[in-house]
Amino acid sequence: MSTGTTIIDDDDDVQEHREHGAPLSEVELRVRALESLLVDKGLVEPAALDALIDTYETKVGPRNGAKIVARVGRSGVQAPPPGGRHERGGAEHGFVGRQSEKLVVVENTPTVHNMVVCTLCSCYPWAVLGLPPVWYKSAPYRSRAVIDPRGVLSELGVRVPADTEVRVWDSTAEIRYMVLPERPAGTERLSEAQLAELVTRDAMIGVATVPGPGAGR
Amino acid sequence: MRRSKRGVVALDHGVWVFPDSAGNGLGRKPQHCYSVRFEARELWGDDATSRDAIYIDLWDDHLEPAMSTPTCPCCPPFPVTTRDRCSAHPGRPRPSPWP
Amino acid sequence: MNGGHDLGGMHGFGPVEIERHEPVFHHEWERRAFAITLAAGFLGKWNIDQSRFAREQMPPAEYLATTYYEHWLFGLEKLLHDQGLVSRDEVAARLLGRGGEARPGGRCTDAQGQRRRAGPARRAGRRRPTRRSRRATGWAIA
Repeated sequence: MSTGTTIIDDDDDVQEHREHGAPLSEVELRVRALESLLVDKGLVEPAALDALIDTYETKVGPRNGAKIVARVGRSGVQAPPPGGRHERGGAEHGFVGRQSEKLVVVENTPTVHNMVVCTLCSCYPWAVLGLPPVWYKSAPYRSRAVIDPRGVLSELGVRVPADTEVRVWDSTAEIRYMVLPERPAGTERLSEAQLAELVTRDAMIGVATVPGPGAGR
Repeated sequence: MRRSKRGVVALDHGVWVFPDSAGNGLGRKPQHCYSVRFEARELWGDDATSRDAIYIDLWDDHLEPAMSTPTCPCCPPFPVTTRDRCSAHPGRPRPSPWP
Repeated sequence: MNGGHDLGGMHGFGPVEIERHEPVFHHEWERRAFAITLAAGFLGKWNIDQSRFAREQMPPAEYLATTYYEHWLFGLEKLLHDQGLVSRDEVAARLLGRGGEARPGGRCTDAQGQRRRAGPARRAGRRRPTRRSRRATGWAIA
């Protein structure tokens, strides 16, 4: 792995492990204060807050997008033309965006590699991929994905041949993009569910490829 | 800030509320949103690869035709140029998307 | 004029840092910030474009030095204050432990509904193609 990418493992002290009795940070205090005011004023319901957290922490995630990818690849839903885009709403595959935004699925081929970014904030197809990872929302990715996509891809382990076109899609709140990754060889006999298991979130953002069955993931 | 960049409308996403207006409480100003293809070299100069492209979602107010005479529907995708000055309201909340 | 959030093509931000097995939320306050922002949005007092604009008002240096959900918190506080729902003075008072005057009533939010009210409005059924789009429709880069 090149020195351009920093991998933070579980063993690293990434997450804050506050010692028992340690004071809350300013931001923690502000969030608590704001939440208590909103609840006290009757503007939000605690049950609604818990439901939102549960929905996006446990129920909505990349498995939704993986099902779409597997369905397109397996069950005869018409795939977009090579290098083209699949302009069907997420609702057509059973997933509706939080604000009914439009989902555009762009297909990777041997000659075209797509990747998605939101340079202005973090627009991301929540309904099919869940909440975006920190790196997607970070200044390094948002700034470099559009000007040095091959460099970013290389750092993330994706080698794009020189004669393959890289297309970077800058998303907005209204239109969200998802990548239809190339189907790896050796998956012809897999069921739709088995195919879906292979598809990763990063492949649907366009910064990873889908490994073949049995390959290390 | 990069303006007056030449691109080609690749996708017409349809009519949407214009964020630059709605975000400032200045009305919906519905208009078309397009995915506009810019060649990498158009944005980043000759140091960029000649093969890659960036697709940016832009609205009618961000664009103007790159040619003065209309083209027929069977002609290649419609070329546009990003405006020198966005025609949205001054003090709009979201700057015209780069470039 | 661009704000600190307009990052496309900028240099100097270093490598893309990947966290293996990254959790959806790293801290409990992030969960709560996320939830109260969405729930407050269901009140229908602002649209998604206004919510993004509110976050983009963060001073650039502060924007780049703070985390994603801190941007959300900034935006939410601004929106609530501007809409007269929760003032900054009330937040300050609550932080000092003096508490605010609880006002019963108001609207209850349902996490399962009203999401579309705060989102972007697609003018379904009212496509009014411009002169440019009539030419552009249906063409795609091969």
